Amino acid sequence: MRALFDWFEERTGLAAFFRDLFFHAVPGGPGWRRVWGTLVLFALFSQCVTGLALWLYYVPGVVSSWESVHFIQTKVAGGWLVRGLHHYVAQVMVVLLVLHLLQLVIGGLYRAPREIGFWLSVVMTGVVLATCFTGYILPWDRRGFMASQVSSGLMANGPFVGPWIRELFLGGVQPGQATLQRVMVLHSGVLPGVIIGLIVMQTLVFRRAVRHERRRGEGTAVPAGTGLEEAGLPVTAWFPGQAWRDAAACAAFLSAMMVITVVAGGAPLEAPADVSVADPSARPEWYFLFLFRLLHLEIFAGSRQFIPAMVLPGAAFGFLILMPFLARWKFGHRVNVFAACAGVAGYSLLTAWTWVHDWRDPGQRAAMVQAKKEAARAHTLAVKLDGLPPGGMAAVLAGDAYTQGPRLFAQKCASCHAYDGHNGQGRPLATPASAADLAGFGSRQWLSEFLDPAHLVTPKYWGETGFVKPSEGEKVSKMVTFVTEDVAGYSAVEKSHLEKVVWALSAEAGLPAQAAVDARDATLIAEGRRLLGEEGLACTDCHAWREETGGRPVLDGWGSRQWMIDFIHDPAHDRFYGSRNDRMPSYGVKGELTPDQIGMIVDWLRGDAP
Amino acid sequence: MRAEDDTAGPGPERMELGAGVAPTDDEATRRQFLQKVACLGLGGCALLGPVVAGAVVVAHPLVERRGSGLLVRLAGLEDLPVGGAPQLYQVLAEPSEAWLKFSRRAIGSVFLMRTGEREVSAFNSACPHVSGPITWREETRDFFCPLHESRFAADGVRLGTASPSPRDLDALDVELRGAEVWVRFQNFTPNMAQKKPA
Repeated sequence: MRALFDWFEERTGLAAFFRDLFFHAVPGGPGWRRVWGTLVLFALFSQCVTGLALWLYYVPGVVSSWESVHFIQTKVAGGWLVRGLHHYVAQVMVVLLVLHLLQLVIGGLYRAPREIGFWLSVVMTGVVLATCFTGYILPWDRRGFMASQVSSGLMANGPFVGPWIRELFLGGVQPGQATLQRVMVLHSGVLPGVIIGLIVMQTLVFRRAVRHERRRGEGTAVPAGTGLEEAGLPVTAWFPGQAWRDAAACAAFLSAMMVITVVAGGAPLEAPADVSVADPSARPEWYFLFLFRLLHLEIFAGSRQFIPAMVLPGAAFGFLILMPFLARWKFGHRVNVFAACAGVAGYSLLTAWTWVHDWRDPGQRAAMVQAKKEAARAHTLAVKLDGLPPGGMAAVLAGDAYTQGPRLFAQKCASCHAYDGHNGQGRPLATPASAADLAGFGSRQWLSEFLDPAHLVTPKYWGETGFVKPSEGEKVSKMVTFVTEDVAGYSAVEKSHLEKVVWALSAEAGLPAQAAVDARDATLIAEGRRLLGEEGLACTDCHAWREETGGRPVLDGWGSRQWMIDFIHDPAHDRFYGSRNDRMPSYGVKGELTPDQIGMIVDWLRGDAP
Repeated sequence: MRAEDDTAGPGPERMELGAGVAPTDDEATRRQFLQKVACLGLGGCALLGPVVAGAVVVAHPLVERRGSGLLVRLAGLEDLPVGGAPQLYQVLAEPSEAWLKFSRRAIGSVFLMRTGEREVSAFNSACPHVSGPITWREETRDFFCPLHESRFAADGVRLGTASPSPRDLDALDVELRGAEVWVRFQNFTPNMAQKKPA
């Protein structure tokens, strides 16, 4: 046995390597503030393990990235946990590395002969940031897509070769399939390889630097500020005195990451990328928010965008690299410490500024709520479908009324109509509404308010339309006079008739949300239908209803899916407003909306979307 | 990325265990022992954490639900003469895989053979050995797999002294609905003595 061990050891030196690793001396004895390096190593180890596990399921591609991540998140055993760990550990690693750099600068641990080790740490922080950046493009959700689009756009603003760099990064002229493949190669191949190489170099360089120092200083007379002041104190081995502290720190770190992941319910996944949507809520990950803010400063507008995007980070990087040389000057170290603190303070300030700015902007808040809604919708649909077409989730959402309805409403309808006071997507209308608010259209409440003299003439209903404010040569609509004069003078009996008529008409709409109530009130609804005629409120004097034809708008099937589709197709049709149509365009006739699109608007308004 | 100030030179004079700690001190020895236990316990937990989580993800296929088969109408009784040769039918379906649901396509094929007036036997056409494509040989009246020459009788039983196949042909459940032949199509794990649904 011994012979075998010696044979092996002679050829590999592994035992000596591990002895060296475990029993290398810790000057000044063990301490909690020395757990830093091990913690970063442990975080990298965790990232490699969880990353490899995710790699088994993740498929880069415009029709598979979001889908495979959603699959990991919802179907793969433990997938959400592993993805969550990967996500949150990455974020914390950024913090660890930045604080580590700060520690190096403040502690003076960047000065001769440790310059190269310090440079390696600086480069490492940059490479880890690049790994994080490529990592959040990969799910190809809104954020990932916007990140690729915005970052590549900034690249194009760079001097001379900028546009080429952009296309090299994208693998084409637009973010897409090739981009994801390239980003994947960077994220899981090139960058981790570089990080491992940096760690190896750093270990070698530091050991050499320390050994060199100790030889020169003969144990005690080491230069001040190199962290070896304690060299005169007892020296103990890394194992177990320091090792158990390192182990405890790693265990605590992992536990904290697990708790964060569980509490947050795993890493977020936004709605799938959609080229056609310019999502105003899109923000980079928090550690790049300072760049986002800088880009918004007026002095960097236009062709000077490359200054915050490239020159400033480049300058900061360059300054860090030059710090060891600057330190040779009498006040150099103090300048460096000041600059580092100022840098971190500025970074924090810009980050906080963005948060506060977004929080105080109602438009941004609404956009974030809308983005959350769309993400939730994509998730719900994907779970419900239990299997997506090869065209991916984006194809499914393109035909989804719940997703497209509000979007189309905001584009086509919200120039006049509001939806519950907003534009369908939670934001205020660009110009005040000039037609009825369509939230709850067809419901009993909508209709009873419409037929209420107190409500009809308000801007929420017809207050701003040509029916109430007719143009030159027109009269106020007969419907308006009916409500403001006849209905206003109704007796108690007539009012109860009106209520039944409202129920009957609302039942014509057949709203899914009202199905149970409509079924319950079948008798009263039948009564209401009768009261629509001469023996009741005589709606049929003007409106077509059952056998009484000719009047308009037609009340048969009022508010039903088909009625609404036909109406949006051509409101000026004889069945609807005819020549009395106010300003509503005939969307279908003019081809401004396809039948599918009209259907999606209607389904969304009625709450028909599955 | 070793911490910046804990990397004193691994000179040979510092290689021995616990340098600087008086080894005769009982208290120190006890403390060292506890530290070693903490090292193993906490360090083990920390290292195993991501590894175990990752291993669960890797092992996901083992806990994936297994199909209970797909009931499909394959033929009409009139297509299958009593005692006639087994006929091969393609099974069309919309298969799901991971997050994907594909459009209608062939997912396998089945031999149907009418053994009586209202009796039909059905075999999955994949060889139970390593899923080779079984064919029916009319001249020898047996099922034959060209990959490793497994042979099966018309009733699916293995032929020959040392069949490469560990089990007889995989019979499938048949349901006759009037004149329609419905089969519960299913694949089974190859190269096992038992029929384990795949």
